[in-house]
Amino acid sequence: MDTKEAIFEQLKAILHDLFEVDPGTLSGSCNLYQDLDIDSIDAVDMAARLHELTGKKLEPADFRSLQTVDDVVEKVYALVNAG
Amino acid sequence: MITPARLSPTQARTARAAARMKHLLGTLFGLLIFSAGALLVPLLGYLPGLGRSDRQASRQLANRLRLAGLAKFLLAYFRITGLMQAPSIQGLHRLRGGNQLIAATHPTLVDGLFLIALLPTANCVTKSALWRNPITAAPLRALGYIRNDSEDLVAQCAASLEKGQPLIIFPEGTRSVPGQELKLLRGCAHIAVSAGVDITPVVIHCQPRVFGKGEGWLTMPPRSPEFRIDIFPDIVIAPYLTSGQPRSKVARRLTRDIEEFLGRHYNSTA
Repeated sequence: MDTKEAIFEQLKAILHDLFEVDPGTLSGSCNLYQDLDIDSIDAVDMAARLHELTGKKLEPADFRSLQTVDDVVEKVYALVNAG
Repeated sequence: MITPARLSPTQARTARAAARMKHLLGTLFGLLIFSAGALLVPLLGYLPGLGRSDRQASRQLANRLRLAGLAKFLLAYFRITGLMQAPSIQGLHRLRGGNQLIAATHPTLVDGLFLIALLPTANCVTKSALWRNPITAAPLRALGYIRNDSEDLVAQCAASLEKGQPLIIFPEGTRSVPGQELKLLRGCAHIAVSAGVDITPVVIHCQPRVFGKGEGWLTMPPRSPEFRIDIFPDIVIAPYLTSGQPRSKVARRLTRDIEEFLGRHYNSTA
């Protein structure tokens, strides 16, 4: 989980496992809420799963400001590399 | 007695215009009574000797009973004045009250009144837009209704069901759009799974439509609307609880099943 590519692959797996998102069609610019049919309850579950994986706590308020898959990748990357 | 056939075209036009005017005024008057009543509901709770209570919960319950009385009155008024025909209700015995989760279609603004009249103690999930308007927010708060954009929506709904109150939800999150496939939000499924209660599907039809989505408030139907309320056997929740899948997937599967059920019965006769 130290490169952005690795984070993206992890996220792709989470989105597939939890939210039935087809990994083949997923790109970084996909909007979580409009394109991937994720709702506020899903966002909580996704934040919890990312917490398990990274050991870093994602505040729900922080998470709500993230719109695209790339936003999430950037956020997780920043958290993981903050030490 | 003059039969309509003997009327001259001008007379017929005048008669039609008069009928429309009567209908319009009658509807406006009914809505006026209801709005005034609904606005008074929260105030009534504070009158001495009229259900005054220090406990918020019982005050809310008393307000709900008053609103149900008002809904019954308004529906009777619409029926007696011929503005609306008596609804035909199928499966009324399936409304058993208690911790029952009602998932209903929402073709018009009037169907909320029917459900409130049938289940006076029920709680209701209500649209956030109504809470942002101070005039509609006051009665909703006094009734202890639940706001659909609450952070802890599912927990609030589960807690309300746990208290033994029926919960009414329009799982589309807004009024149904005629001629379109029903599209459900997943909140209803999450509530059912979290609270572990079965879902009672209720399909409400209104022909011709009044107070539908995208229609003006004063758009008058060509004839007095006829309502049909079909209460179906419960969608049993137990099989969804034992799948071992994450809740996000269970909620998706259950939502598809509710959507398919409501859609099939809503569009079959709409």
